[in-house]
Amino acid sequence: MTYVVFQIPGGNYYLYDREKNSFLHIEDTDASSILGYLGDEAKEECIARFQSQGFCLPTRLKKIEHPDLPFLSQLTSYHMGEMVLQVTQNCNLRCDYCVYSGTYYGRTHTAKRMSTSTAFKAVDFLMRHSLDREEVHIGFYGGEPLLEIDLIKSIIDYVEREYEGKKVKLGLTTNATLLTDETADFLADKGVDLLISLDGPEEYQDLQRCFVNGQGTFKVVMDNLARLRDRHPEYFKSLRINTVIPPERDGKKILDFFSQHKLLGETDFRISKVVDIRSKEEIRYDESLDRAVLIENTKAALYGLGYLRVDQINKPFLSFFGDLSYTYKLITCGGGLTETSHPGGPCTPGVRRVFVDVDGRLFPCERIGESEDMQIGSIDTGFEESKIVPMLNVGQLTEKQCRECWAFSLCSQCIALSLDGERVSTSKRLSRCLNVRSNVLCSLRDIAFLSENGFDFEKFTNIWE
Amino acid sequence: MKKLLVYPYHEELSTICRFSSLLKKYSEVQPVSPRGFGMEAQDASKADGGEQVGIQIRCDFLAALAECDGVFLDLAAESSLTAAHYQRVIDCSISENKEVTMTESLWRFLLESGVTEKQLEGVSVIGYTHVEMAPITKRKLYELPIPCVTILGTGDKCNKFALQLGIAGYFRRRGYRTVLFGTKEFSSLFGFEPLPAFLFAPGSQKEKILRFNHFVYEKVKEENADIVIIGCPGSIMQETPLVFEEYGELAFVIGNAFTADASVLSLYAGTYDEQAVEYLQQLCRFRNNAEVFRFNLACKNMLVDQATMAVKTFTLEFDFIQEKILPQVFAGNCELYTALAGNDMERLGKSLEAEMLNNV
Repeated sequence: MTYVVFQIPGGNYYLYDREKNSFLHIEDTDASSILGYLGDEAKEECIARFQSQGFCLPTRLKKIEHPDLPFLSQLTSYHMGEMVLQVTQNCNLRCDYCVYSGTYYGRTHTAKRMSTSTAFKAVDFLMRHSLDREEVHIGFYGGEPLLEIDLIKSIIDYVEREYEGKKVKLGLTTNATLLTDETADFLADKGVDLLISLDGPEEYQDLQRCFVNGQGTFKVVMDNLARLRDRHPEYFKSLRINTVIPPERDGKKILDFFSQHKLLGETDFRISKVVDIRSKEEIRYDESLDRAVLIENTKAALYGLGYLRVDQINKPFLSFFGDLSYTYKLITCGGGLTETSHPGGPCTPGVRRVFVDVDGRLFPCERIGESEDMQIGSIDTGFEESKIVPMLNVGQLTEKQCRECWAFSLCSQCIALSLDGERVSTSKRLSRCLNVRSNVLCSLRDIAFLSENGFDFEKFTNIWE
Repeated sequence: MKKLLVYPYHEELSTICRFSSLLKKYSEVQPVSPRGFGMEAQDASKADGGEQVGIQIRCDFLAALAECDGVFLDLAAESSLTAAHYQRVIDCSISENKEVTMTESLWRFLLESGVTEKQLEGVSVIGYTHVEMAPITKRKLYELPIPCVTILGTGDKCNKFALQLGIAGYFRRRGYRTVLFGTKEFSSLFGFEPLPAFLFAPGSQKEKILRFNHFVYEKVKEENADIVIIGCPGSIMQETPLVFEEYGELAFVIGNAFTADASVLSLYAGTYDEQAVEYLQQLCRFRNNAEVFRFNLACKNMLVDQATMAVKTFTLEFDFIQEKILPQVFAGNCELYTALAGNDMERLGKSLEAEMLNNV
């Protein structure tokens, strides 16, 4: 079906129609009719009535193809926005859930590092391919990128020296164990956006984020962060923390740790589950983490509706509004489905972001792994369009199912989520559909509920901008 | 043979290279841009996606300066260039006794950034025309006694100024006394008049329509012109439902100040079916008082960034448009051009001339 009926807290029913990419409040009896509870005749009558108002119509969709496809060569030539540089494949930690830990296909820690000439060539490549971009982003990634702080310094110096006039934003993802005062001063001075991996309370951090010798990292990281805050209090406020929560952990305990911690209470932290893309083993979560998140999201919603004060909520969960506002914009401004369209999800490889590995090979992003089949070019030879096209048109893998799916436009599956071990898999993509539809339905319910209760989405649009 | 150094060379300035033969005081152009603009050693067409112009972009300002007679400076608003950077460039140019001209936008930016007027002594500033007009007593719209062509666009960066120069250049070459009211501050580099500044100032549309009508009417009489070309800045309509910024106010004002004999609408280069073309024609007819039978495909398209939902434009090269896009545009009885390619500008000029002659 190309539409779905759902109920929100309070009992009202809504209908979301993918052809129009919009939703509307419907009467209870209409909901029952469409859902078939009142028999075939009532259903047909009801659908005919909605069709006369432009809803529940047969699909316009004729062909699944990404809208960027016709312009791909031009977009990759002029519109590249972000480059993530893998400055090293080495790391001073051995986290058991890490994608380089050996439990994932196509990735392991090695001693390989990016050479200065490769790094400079990569920067040149970005600048040549981003003429239409007012600003570009360069991210430093590893392994642990601070193992190569001298290389990072020389890259930033190269950008400043050779590329005056271009707005360049810098970012670095680190475990913070090597964040010395000198390094912190440098990063703060250059305004490098820091994303720090920190997994919460000492017992969890030390259990899952250990040095090579098995020693825990909590104390080292917290000392480094405390000194960073003392030396650069303003810069510290811009810090973002990413917390990975493995299946067996107590999610609530982690959330409480961050919200109550004196040093970290004001930082922006996000939680994520262990990456299951290309994992050799299945990663299964029970409901406890989702429940903890749901409670925090609900509190955020109550704050948004004026029932709770800001000090009664877990601030990072304000991002809940950001995600909802994004979906809200997609629905209210995105327009209806056209004859040629593609399920939501894939960003355009080579345009929004490019991941450059230590050898100068290009990949769509850092999540996807560095196996040859995912390579989309190199800094020496440029992009291989033939490799990008199937990634962009990943919806063609599941054309039959996508054609009939009501969540078509709001889908979030890109090529990375279709990877099963070393290969792209139709069944892997399909295995995620239930979860995707469930998440979309939750968002629609939240949006409808909040809208019905006077929530102002416009107020929170900046969160995702 | 005087040579003009254009700095910092960026997309908005590509017309200076593309139409260098129309420049009033200079016969050659040297575009120079910081390396950060990513165009070093490339043809000047890299900035706009059009056909090659045969002028190479340089990045060594001082070396280029030594070979030039004048320097033209503009504000590259999308870059990270600071006032101090521009100041250094100005100081170098003046110390080398070059004629320095800058746009009013840059001049304002520098003053707002703390540079004093004294530091800018010796620099000529060009911008939209500031007019002292007597209070309007006759509250009527004058009809122009000569043919009038308006250039409209569906958004920013739609090659509208290139179209204006191309058409004005054509009629000038054909011996017509041509008046152009250009959409760029630096229109005067080509001997044409930029649009009056009051159009961009706050104020009622009604007063702007009246003032613009009188202003153009007087100018046409004063110049004893044979043809007038008017560029309409910005878009003819709201560009995106996501942000309410541009909604076609100036195109509306200009369209209502004069009934054009012919109008050219420049479109982002996408695929347009019969319905879309008809919709655009009707929109121009009823909102902008413009009959459009000539469409141009700009070397630009727009997209909504799915990550941020922001609207962005991106460059499409002219040969890509001709090969991949043009065949997918339903033009019907209309004429279709890619102004930045080959002899399309000449073809457009000829078509307009023929229509104007027939009208006469």
